[in-house]
Amino acid sequence: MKCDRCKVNPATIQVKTIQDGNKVDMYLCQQCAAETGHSTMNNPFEDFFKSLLDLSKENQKSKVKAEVICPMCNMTYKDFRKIGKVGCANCYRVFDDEINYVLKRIHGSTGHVGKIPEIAGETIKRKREINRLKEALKKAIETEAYEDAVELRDQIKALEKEE
Amino acid sequence: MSNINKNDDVIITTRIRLARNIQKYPFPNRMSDISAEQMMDEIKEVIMGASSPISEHFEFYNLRELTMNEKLALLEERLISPELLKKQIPCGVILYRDLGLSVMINEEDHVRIQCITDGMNMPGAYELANRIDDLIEEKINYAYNEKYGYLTACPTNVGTGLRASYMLHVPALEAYGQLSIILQAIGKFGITVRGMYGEGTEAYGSIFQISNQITLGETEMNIIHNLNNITSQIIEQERRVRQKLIKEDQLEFEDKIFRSYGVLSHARKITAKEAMSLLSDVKVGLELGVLKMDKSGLDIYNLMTRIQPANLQKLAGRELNSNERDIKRAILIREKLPLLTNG
Ligand SMILES: [Zn+2]
Ligand SMILES: [Zn+2]
Repeated sequence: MKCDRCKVNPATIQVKTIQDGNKVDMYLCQQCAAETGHSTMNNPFEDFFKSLLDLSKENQKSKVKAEVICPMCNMTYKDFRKIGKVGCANCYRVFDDEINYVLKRIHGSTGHVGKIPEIAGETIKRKREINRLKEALKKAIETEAYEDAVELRDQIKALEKEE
Repeated sequence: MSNINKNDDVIITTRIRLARNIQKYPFPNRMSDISAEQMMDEIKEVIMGASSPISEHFEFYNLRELTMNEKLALLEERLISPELLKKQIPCGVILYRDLGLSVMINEEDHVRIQCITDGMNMPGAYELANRIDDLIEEKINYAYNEKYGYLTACPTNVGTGLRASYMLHVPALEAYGQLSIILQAIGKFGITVRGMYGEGTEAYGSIFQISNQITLGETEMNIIHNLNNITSQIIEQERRVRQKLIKEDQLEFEDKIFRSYGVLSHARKITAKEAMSLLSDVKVGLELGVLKMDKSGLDIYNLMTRIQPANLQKLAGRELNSNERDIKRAILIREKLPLLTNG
């Protein structure tokens, strides 16, 4: 089937839209979908994420991986790759290799630095603060600001004791 | 002056969305109906039962108890997403309409907190959404881990779970064919573009939505800051081209704007698509002072929402076929469009 928009490329995605109250199905190629924003309706990354999963090196050992299953929600590795979504918080541990690989490609990072929830956030906050202080300590030593360094070292020690 | 501060000659609305999940339940794509009901009750209780003074303003809607038209009307107001409409499991939405606040329950994630405000007001929108987030967080354990932050059904939303967007009205850039160049360029900065309702609405009154793509490895403030930078550049470009349009083709430009006003103020039948495009002309005509009217009397974005099919039917209190809708739409626009003071 040819793409409804450019009428040249083969259509690869089906798009449902509501036009004047009526549901209309459209078939688009990847390029037209991207250009019209169709492939990006809820999450512009979803398709990209799925295609990256296919590239993931881990998948070359997919015979073994196919058996992997999350015990909390019964999500299988096969399902995860197919829909590009996980079934529960625990899946992040079960499929961590793949998720980690793909997130690095997409976000350029795999470490959260944003908001921390109040509940259960204490340890995380402390760890983050320790990391921040260690960075500062490194800088202080580099710039030979030894008085600051001593103070920073003491702060780190105090925080580490609380753990 | 306040108009310029809000940049609302170009920015129609600001939107914030926070995606959150509850630790003890599987995500909506793996959830039983019983858990879904139970979770909905918990969220309802936390938000609506809180002692916070804002709690009494919330209304809850169980999607199963709404008619299709009521649901579509919420969709047209962007208070719910297309995804929520398709859900098979129990799902719902908590609204505080006056603040543009909505909390979708059991969409792709358990909780999606959304805030839409007029003009360019990211701090205001974020502050409100964040307040609801804090309210929930006080009582409920979110799915969260140190490495990935807030855990979401689609790993591409993890981290902050934040999507910040602006709805832009850029008729001049579109008319000059510069839009596609800009849109291509901003992809490099981790910004993405969609139509007004998320889908292929390219011809819908030159209105586009731009949002952040990156959710992990940046703080909420950085994400917003980055989006603001790009947006400010687009605003500047749009203004420049508008000035150019009015200088170089003044008569053509004014003719087009007055004709658009003429059709809107006299048509007896009009499709949504045509109306959106003409309203877009009128809006830019007002911004540039070509049309003069009591501007406080015209809220373009609100009118654009009211003339959508489901909202028209809601107003009429019954189903309308497309011909009847075109007639009602024309009547509504004639009612709402203020008279020109320089006609
Ligand atoms: Zn195509
Ligand atoms: Zn799982």
